[in-house]
Amino acid sequence: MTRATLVASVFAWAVRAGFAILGARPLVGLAAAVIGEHPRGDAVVWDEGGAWLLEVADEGRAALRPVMVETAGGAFVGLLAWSIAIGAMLSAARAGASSDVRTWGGLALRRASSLALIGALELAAKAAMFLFSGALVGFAWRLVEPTSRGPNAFVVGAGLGACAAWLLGVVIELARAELVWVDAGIWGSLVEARAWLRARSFEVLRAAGVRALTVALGLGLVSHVVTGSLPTHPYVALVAVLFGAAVPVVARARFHAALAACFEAPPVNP
Amino acid sequence: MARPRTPPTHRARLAHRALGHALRLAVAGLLVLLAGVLAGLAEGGSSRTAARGHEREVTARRGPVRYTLEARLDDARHEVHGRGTIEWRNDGAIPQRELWLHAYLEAFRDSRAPLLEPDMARGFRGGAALTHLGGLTVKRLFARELDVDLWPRADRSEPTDVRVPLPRPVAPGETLTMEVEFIAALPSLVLRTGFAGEFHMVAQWFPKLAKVEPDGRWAHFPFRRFSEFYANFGDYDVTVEVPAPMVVGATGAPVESSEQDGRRRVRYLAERVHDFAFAAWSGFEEIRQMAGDVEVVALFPRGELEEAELELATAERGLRHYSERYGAYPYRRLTLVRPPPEASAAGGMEYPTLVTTGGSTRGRAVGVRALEALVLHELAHQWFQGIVASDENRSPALDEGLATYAEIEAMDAMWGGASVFDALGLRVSSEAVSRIVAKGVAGGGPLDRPAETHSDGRSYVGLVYARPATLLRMLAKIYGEDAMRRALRRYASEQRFAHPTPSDLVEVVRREVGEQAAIALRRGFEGARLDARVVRFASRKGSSRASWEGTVAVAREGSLEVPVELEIWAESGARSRLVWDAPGSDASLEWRGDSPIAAVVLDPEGKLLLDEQRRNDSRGAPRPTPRLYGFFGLALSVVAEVLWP
Ligand SMILES: [Zn+2]
Repeated sequence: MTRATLVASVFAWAVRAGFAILGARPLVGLAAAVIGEHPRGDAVVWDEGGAWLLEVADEGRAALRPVMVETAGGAFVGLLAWSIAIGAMLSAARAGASSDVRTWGGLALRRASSLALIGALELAAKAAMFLFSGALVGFAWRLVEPTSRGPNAFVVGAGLGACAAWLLGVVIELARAELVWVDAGIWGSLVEARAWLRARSFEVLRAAGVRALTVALGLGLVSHVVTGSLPTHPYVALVAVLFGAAVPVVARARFHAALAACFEAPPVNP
Repeated sequence: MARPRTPPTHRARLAHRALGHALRLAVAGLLVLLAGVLAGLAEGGSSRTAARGHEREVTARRGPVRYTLEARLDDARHEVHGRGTIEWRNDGAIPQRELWLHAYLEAFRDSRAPLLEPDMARGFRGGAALTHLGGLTVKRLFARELDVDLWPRADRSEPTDVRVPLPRPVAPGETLTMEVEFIAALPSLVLRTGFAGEFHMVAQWFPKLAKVEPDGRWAHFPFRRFSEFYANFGDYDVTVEVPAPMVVGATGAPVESSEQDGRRRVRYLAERVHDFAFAAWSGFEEIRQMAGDVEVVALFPRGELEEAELELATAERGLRHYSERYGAYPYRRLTLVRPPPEASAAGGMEYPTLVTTGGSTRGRAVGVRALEALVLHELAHQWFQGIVASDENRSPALDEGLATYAEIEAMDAMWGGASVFDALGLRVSSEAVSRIVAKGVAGGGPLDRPAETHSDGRSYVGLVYARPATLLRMLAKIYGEDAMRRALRRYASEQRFAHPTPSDLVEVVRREVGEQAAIALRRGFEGARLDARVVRFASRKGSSRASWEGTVAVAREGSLEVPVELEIWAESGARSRLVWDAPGSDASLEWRGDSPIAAVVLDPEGKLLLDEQRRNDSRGAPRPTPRLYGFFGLALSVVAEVLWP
């Protein structure tokens, strides 16, 4: 790993970790207000029976709307910072070990508005995909198979939505690479990305698959550690959350390296 | 009756421990099976004796009514053609000049009937549109002793609640035998009764006598959205005739069966019950199992064997649990009917010796037990409504409250503090869910009030199911589980085959749990609320060295005056308890300890289930919240990974 990639990755990790902790603040505040001044603090939420858990959920519901607005605002700011961080990682992926931070970092900043725009569009498209596919499959399912046994239609729909969203994410990541590496403009990058995916679909999808698998396994493991240690070792859980923020970053860096190799390889015959 | 839709908390998802549950269940199933086989081999004789015991109890005292009916199902027209006799003995203290008959199906004669007002369904069952109307057409009601057809003189201005004047008074103790003929047109399934495709749930289908109270007053009522039922115990001898491919599940037990010309006739006898319902469908499959000397039969749609097995196992466990808590199940048979998905409006309802079920096994991976909860609830009704037959229309909170209490108690006894959710390191009990629903309707008025006074499903579910159940659970936690167990056991045994009122429940609580608990129960039924809180605390140096004195000011809103425990955390780390056990809306309690007070926790064990707010229950310094950061941080990380670039 080059120094440039390391610096960009640390920045990206800081964005993810910062979002996890700072973004949680309004929700934590809401829950803490319900717990009040109980000397056992937030440990009561994990008590067997869940009396406090439900109390927090029930009392918190009343004040949830402003808190969700705040969290969504934080998520949007985080998204913009994350878009720039990905740009920096892409830039670093082809900058070579000796490059000056100002050179590749500046590149990411110059593309910041385009990266942010693409990021926002991607978020909107993904959210729409989840909602639509969930609802659509839910509806179709009820028509054909109304038993209580089958998998939950919404879950099936969301699963399909996740696959579509994943594919969309891959294409957009290629567009981002085009944007940072070639500066083809947003539209030009999207067109190039499609062509790229067609020409090198195997390598690209394999690398994207490895990334998705790494993230899924990594976050699954982190979730297991976090939920398991929360009641008794809350600070271990906190560290696990911070560590967890590195999982998508590392997977991303490896993905970018694969893309860069693919980008620099001599073109294959169509 | 019907259990409310599963609260949203029941529905929470995500995976954990699926395998553990499955394995435990499989092992439990095997053990039950093995035990059943061994018991069957070893105790054939004694179970026969016990069965005779059952018969003695159910035939011990004839009820004042006897229905002998033939019910022929015309499955193409969705009609039941009924004929037979209804015998009625005037059990009241005064001569009667009239009879009251319920014709429940008449409520489905008009799709715009108040019964089907969709706004009222919110939060409860029965919101679908009525696509096929129902009704009850009585052709004849000939009283042999009076030698007259009574039906032409009937006053049917309220079609579900019919007054039948008698040509001469019928004296106390005198019996009337009425020859009856009627056509019950089943509605499309919207609310408990009716048909969906070929599935027929035949309930509230015959002209049914209202009940005469001991003082001679008729307990009759028009059938409304939240109305349920109330009737005398009696004997039912019902012969059901259906197309031969159909499988029937009915109240009571089959005694004769024959098949001719493509029709199947099964005669069912049910003694000492107050209703008769049956389900008929060609799509049923059947499994059965002995639970002690009770035969449990489960009818279920093809492809839902897994659910049916779980229902059977839960019913077997529930029968044992409830028999121990509330007295033996007195009948020989229990039928579980699991309607197909398109007929789910028939599910979750209790009839004597027959319950309809429902609910999926989805969510078991995260400890959600919707199906088990439903079975345990409806099964609890075999006691609280079936054997202890309170007036469901006048006091729906009595039987629903007790059935929900029994369900919660059984759920938590069987699966501990994680009976409805167990994933992500979070565990939720049935009792905790009930508390939240109950506190959501605080201030909603009295719990003990007639069914028709409830304005919507949410208020009905909260005030009739959750709040009385939570009130009783709260009293059990405060005054002792054993005392409450004794009280309910006594209630169930004193009121076995009787028709108690809420005051009878208050009375047994007075005798077994105490005066204070009885007052709280009565006030709770009147709608009393509770919000206890710590107002402030202070401590000062005591007279002797190394001693500190403190005062804790507490207050409460509402008139549910129960003892309130306080836990005092001293700065030294020592903890001690104080109890505020006096009437009134506030108090100042004295405390002595080895160091100043650091914090005060009201109700440290969470006994005050109806306490409306917990945020005002503690005083001290705010604590750090690393767990909340960890939990929400993880959640946001996952959200970012899914939605962000
Ligand atoms: Zn019920």
